[in-house]
Amino acid sequence: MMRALIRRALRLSGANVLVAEAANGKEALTILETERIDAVFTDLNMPVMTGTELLREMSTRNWNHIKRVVVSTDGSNARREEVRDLHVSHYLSKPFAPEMFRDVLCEVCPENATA
Amino acid sequence: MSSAKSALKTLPPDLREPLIQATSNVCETSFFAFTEPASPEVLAQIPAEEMWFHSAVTFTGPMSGRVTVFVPAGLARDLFGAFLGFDEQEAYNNAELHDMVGEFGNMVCGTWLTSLGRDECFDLAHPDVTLAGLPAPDEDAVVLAVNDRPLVVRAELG
Repeated sequence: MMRALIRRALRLSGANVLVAEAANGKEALTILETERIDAVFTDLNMPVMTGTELLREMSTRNWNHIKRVVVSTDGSNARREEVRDLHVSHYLSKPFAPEMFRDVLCEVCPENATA
Repeated sequence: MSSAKSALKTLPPDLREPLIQATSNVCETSFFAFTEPASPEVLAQIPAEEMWFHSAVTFTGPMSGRVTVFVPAGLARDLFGAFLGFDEQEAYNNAELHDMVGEFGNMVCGTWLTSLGRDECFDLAHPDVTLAGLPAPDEDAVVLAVNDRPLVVRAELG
């Protein structure tokens, strides 16, 4: 459902981006292995492979050119600290307004976003 | 709001107000819905035959328990439309509606726990969403009016 909300936020932002969707970290890894991806927006609480596990795997594989944004209901400092060393550039706490998402997108993909 | 009390303990008063604030925050930010405290009498506004979504999220961490959000089906459909920006003419998919109510429960639980300012992390289970009847009266539950329609939230500690 959050993916649907992000799709909506992207539509409203007017951003010129192509989006690939994954239901969990494992599916995301498969996409990252086969597609050229500029940025990953990931929840932390996911089945099969969590967002934290996905971010760790991305770091292990040295995919540090891919920008990483966490989208989570857990906005605690402890959780932010947990992912701080995993090359996360932005941490978006749910609930968020569409314009907050747009602002993050502008910073992560400035060449594709419409401010 | 089940008729049989579970083994979980009811919410202390100092955790009740943050739960109300968290629910209001989620409703207003993600669903563009106006929320205000209400009395249990507002539940009588909902026709007895209307079904309710029950979205339960179990959490563990510095404290453990469960947050359950009870949403009348009609209100859930309206919130869904606001959430995704659908207009009234667009068809609603029941599976997506279930997902949305689950995400609603997830956001209420996560926002509430974050607002408590603990230094340790909580782990949230995936929401358990069911469609059932009117929740039974429970004086420990929080009753809110969302866009003038009732919504019930209950938090229990284990």
